[in-house]
Amino acid sequence: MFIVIIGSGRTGSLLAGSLSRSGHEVVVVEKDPASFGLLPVDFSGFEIEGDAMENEVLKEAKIESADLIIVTTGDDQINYLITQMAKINFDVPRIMVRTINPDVERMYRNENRIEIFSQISLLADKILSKID
Amino acid sequence: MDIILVGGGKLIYHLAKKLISKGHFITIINKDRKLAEDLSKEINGTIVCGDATESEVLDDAGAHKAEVLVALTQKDHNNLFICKMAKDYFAINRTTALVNNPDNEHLFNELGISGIFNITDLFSSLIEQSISTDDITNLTMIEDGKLSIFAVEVDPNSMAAGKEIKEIDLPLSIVLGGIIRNGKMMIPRGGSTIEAGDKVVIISLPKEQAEAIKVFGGE
Repeated sequence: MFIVIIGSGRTGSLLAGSLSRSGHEVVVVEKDPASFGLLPVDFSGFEIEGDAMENEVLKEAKIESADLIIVTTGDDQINYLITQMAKINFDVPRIMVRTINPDVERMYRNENRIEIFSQISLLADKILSKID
Repeated sequence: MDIILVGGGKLIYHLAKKLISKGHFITIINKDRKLAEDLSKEINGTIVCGDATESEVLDDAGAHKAEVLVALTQKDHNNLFICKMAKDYFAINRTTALVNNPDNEHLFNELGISGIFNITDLFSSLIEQSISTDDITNLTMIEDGKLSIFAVEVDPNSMAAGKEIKEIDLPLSIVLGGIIRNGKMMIPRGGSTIEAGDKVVIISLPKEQAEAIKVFGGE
């Protein structure tokens, strides 16, 4: 698969490393070039430095041919805008997005094509499942 | 009508004043404590200090009973998010956002966020026009010409020259959007002085364009 990852923080880098290792074609978009340092040494994909909230930057990342985009920045508002850009401007077939504040999950209700990963809910579910 | 305005700065201040003068109930949400306090002294409305991207803050601001929300922050992602949240969580159907990046206008429209005012486009055409020598410049029309935005160079003999904005007798439906002096853009307030040679950006109905030109253009 051809996968575009937005954000090269701890989450984005971890995903990018694993996905490229398992044979996927990966492009990572990140505003702060220092964050590319978090990518593992064996990362074999592409790095695009730029603000993913700009259409031009997403185009440079070849978003138009992406099979999947994973939006991983640490800001719910930025993630929402990029997710909508991917859906409306570039018609990406599959979109995954990280959400920080669990309250934000409802924003993505009734959105087909968009899958949300709410870090706090996932963590809480995991912990709760161990207690019972 | 109950209207929520999000953001700060002169734009919010003037917009709130105008809307209140027309009998609307205004609630302003601003993150900055100092700004919120200043606004609360000057605006006869409710001021909420908080981050409007949080649904609790919108709730505190009375989003459940508001009919209109206007998001005017400098960040498109915040404006989009706030408007969408207002729609989805609080059933506010009429939302308007400031679009700072012209590329996003289409996206906002697709998501049902209306009345978008594209300030970057406006300012860049203004700065471009400020070099031109014409006294009156038509900048743009909105909604098929129902609202016009234009700039007038202030004539030394006009009744506006040398006066503060609040002293100038202008119909309420004429709004000043900016003053360009020596190539610099200023946001007008009631106490701002209009000087000869300034370019004044005016937002008005097309039929009142002539009246505005009379006041500033000196004819």
